[in-house]
Amino acid sequence: MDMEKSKNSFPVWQIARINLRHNFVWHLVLAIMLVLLTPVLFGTSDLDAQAAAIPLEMFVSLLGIVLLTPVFFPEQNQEIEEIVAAKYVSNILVYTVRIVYSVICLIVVIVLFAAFMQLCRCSVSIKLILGTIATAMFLGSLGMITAALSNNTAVSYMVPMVFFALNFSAGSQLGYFHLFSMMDGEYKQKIWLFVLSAIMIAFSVFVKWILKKGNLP
Amino acid sequence: MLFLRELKKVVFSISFFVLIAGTIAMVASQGVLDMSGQEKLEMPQPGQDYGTQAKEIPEVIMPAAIQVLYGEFCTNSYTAYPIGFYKNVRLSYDKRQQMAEIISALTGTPADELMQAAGESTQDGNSYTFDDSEIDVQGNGGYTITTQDSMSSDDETGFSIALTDDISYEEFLSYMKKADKLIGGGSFYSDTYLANSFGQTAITYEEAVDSYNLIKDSDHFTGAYARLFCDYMLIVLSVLPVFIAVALCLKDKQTSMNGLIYSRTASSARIILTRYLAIITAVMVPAVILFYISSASIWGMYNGMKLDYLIPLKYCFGWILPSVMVSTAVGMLLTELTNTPAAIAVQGLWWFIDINLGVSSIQGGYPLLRLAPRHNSLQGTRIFLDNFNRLAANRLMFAGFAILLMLAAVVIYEQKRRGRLNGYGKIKKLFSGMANR
Repeated sequence: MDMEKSKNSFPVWQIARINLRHNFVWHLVLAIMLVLLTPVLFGTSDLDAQAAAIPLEMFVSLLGIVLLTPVFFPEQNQEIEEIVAAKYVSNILVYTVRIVYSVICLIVVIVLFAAFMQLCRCSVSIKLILGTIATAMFLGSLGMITAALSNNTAVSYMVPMVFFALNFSAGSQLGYFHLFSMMDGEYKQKIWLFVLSAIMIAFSVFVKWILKKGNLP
Repeated sequence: MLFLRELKKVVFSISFFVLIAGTIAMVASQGVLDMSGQEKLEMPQPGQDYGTQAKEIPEVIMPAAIQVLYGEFCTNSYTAYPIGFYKNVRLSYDKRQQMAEIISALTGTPADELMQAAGESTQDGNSYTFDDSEIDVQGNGGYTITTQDSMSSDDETGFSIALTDDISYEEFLSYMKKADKLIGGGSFYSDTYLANSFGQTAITYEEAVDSYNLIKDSDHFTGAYARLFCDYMLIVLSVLPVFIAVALCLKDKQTSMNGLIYSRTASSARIILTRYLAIITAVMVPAVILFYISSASIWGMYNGMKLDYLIPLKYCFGWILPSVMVSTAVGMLLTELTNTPAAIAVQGLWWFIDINLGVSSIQGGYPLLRLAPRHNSLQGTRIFLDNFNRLAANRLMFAGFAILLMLAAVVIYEQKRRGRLNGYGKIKKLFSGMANR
């Protein structure tokens, strides 16, 4: 009876707080370092919309890999997975909490950086910000789904990085998957990237659920 | 045998599969896996268009550069690539005045008049358009500015300026340096970009014939295609091996195998260096195979000509191998040191900056500290031959650096076996202690 009560009242914020402290903080630090590095590497003042898309698409979008890809990493450690599996709180709830705070942090960091660019007289529209978020989420969800399927940290980072590198050379040949389209003034690709990233995030959680249930051979 | 066991682990890993898929996707998407679609290098015929090349001809560079500088000054909007990335620079009022003085010294127009003209054009919202000058941004990240041979800008652009007759090229260069410094470096007026941006001149028939003869006699045709192949291969192979190294080293930790391996009699040097060699072998064998597939695709185009059939081996080991060595070594060292995938962030960032910096020497040039030396052209045999020593020094230096990193990895691994070093344990404890407060 007590356990049932405790299960129902288990505070979501407590999961978030513990995960933020122990699993997320280093990734957030790296994300902030990347953002701080952006004005050093790229021009971030007096840019029109297409020029402003360069740092946002080519660098800031990498935050998606840094913040979203590690969502499943803690359980990749076999010992932690065994402990977590014995808990009454569903893994899916923990993953959902991690995904929510990771996406929120991603959006906040991108919006803050966009605001900084706006202060530096760049033409950063809402469309540009949403496009950057979609690109970052796509890269991050690509890492998430790889992590869910492979249970391998390095490969989870590798797949989105290979796709990112491919965009340098293949460019618009990638069609709807072209990450740097806003630099050419094209925005419709971003809708596809966003929809796909939502599907991939949902599917990666589903894969984890299936694997936990042992429904796959 | 330890080497074969490690090799098997690498070859049957997902990271190796992704590396192969990524490499093939890169070379195939750029049309260098099957080179038959590339241009056939033939003896030039008189009257053809042989393209352009950068040459340091003062009569060409000076009028074109002042024209573009004046245009940028009037709109107070300067294009720069300080470390490879596009930057739009706006100067403060003081710096604009200094720039006006530079232009004044070059043109004889009083600085006040220049400032006034610039103020008016900025207020009018004029934008500078290149009329008889044109910036051509290429797909590979490079760009050229082509200009007509004119001593003054076209009136239609709204900006008209001309150089004074008594300015020498040396003086002009020193002013360009000052202008570049005001902009913050990496502008069109820097040493790196000045000749490339404004010194583009048409290649003459004689020069085209010389270039062809070099490709025929020195490169035996295959060398020209090999450099282009290396250019694209290195974009991926200077970063992807780090993932294999990290995956392999982290696997020991995840499967709790470290304890078992530590207690073996094999020396740390043997364990680490065998693993390193296994990764290098696993990466280089497919690279050689892909290189031969690429090279063989042009053999039929040059029937009866002398070709170098060993070119893929020479370029694979001379050009590609050192970058693979460094990328793998960074992965192994940092993973052994930290027990985390931090190497991916380090190598990834290095790669990202290096690839973008490489745009400034995309046609060759091979700076000493370039992780992935670029040569994105079938031409440029003369550039390759003239700078060969620097390229060789670069590759030897990176190979040596990789060996040093591996020696450090052996020392760290040995310390961990002795229980003296547990990754970054102390730092981790400090931070986790702070987090728990």
